[in-house]
Amino acid sequence: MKTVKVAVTTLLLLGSLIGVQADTINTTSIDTQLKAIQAASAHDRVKLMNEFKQQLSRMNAQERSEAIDEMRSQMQAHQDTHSEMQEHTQHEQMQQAEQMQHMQQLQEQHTGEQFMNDMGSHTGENGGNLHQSF
Amino acid sequence: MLKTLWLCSLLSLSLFAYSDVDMDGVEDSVDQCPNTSLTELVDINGCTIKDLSSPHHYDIILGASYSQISPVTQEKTDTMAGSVQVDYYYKNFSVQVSTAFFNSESSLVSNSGQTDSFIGAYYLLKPLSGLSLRLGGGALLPTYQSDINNNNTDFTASLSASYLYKDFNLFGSYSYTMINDDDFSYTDTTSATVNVTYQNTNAFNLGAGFYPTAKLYTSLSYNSSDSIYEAFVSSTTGRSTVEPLESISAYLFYTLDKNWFTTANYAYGLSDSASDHYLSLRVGYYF
Repeated sequence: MKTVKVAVTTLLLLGSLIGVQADTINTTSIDTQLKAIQAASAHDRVKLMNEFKQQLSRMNAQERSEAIDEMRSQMQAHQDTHSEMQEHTQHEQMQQAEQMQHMQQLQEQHTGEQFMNDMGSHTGENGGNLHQSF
Repeated sequence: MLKTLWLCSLLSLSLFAYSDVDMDGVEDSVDQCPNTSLTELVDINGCTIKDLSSPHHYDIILGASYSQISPVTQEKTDTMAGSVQVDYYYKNFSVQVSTAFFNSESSLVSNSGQTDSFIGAYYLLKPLSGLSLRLGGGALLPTYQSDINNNNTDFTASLSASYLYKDFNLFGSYSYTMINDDDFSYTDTTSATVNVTYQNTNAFNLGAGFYPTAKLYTSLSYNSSDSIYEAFVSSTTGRSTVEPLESISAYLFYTLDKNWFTTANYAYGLSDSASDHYLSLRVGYYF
């Protein structure tokens, strides 16, 4: 039993050590990569940037977020354009306009029916003497 | 000494002058596609050669709206509605399904139920940098229980354009809806027969928007749509038509975080047929 406990403790310690090491290596690696990107020529910068993006795509959400934050701070980006967000905004705006149009037409339809009910003789289940004329 | 200072000034100037807004490694002055996202691999000109992001996205949007209409001939009517919308995005293609439940109150009539439901598809085209065109088509399913039981599926087609220059956006859209509801007639209080005919509608809007911050977008637009009613033809008083629904609206889109967003829209009716006031608030989750 004691041997098992020692083995488990050792494994846990090793695991956390490897985790810390991996994290340090990761951070160092990103830092090194970003420095290399900044120092590279125009042609190489694109190549290194593409490699960095591929690395980002393999990271989990937390790692990716940290890497992007670091990149933003190091590369002194003046502005984040959020092109995907902007695209989404435009799409939503268009949908919102269409939805408003549908809702206004519905209200117009209500008004028409109300007008018919107010003005018509109310003898039928559907609000008056309706004659389908199609 | 002077030469060294001169070189240092030049170097610092060039460092400060460097700008790569989309962080693709290509300086803005030579970047031919200045708005590529971080998930896109680019060529030496800064244009996309491969997109690493997942092509599948979804959003779910819940909304609440209030509208008020007070035509000169009738009582004021207030309508509250709760809506749900689901979108699926695949690359440049998207599908939307939405419906809403309403409660409409005037001093004489109260009405509630489900509105027509919408199912539609859109395709996004980007012919030029900053220019987006969206082609859309859809059906308004007759889930609204009309008092006169004449509701049928309507079909709609739309084209919208949006041009983004830096933080400014100009947009416009046109849609054509085939109203297939059955025409009907009724007898009014003077015993005259009134024939009501529907018409297909043309609608358009034009507007301008602005991103004051990276998370906030705001716009103003003018909207116009034909009435769904072509004419009311009375056997005694003759033919009367309904003017187009015209309004101006203000729109806000706020990104709460990478998933959550919220929108607000207020429209003020310019014509008697349009809702006097329309307010809509929505919250969405995009993933």
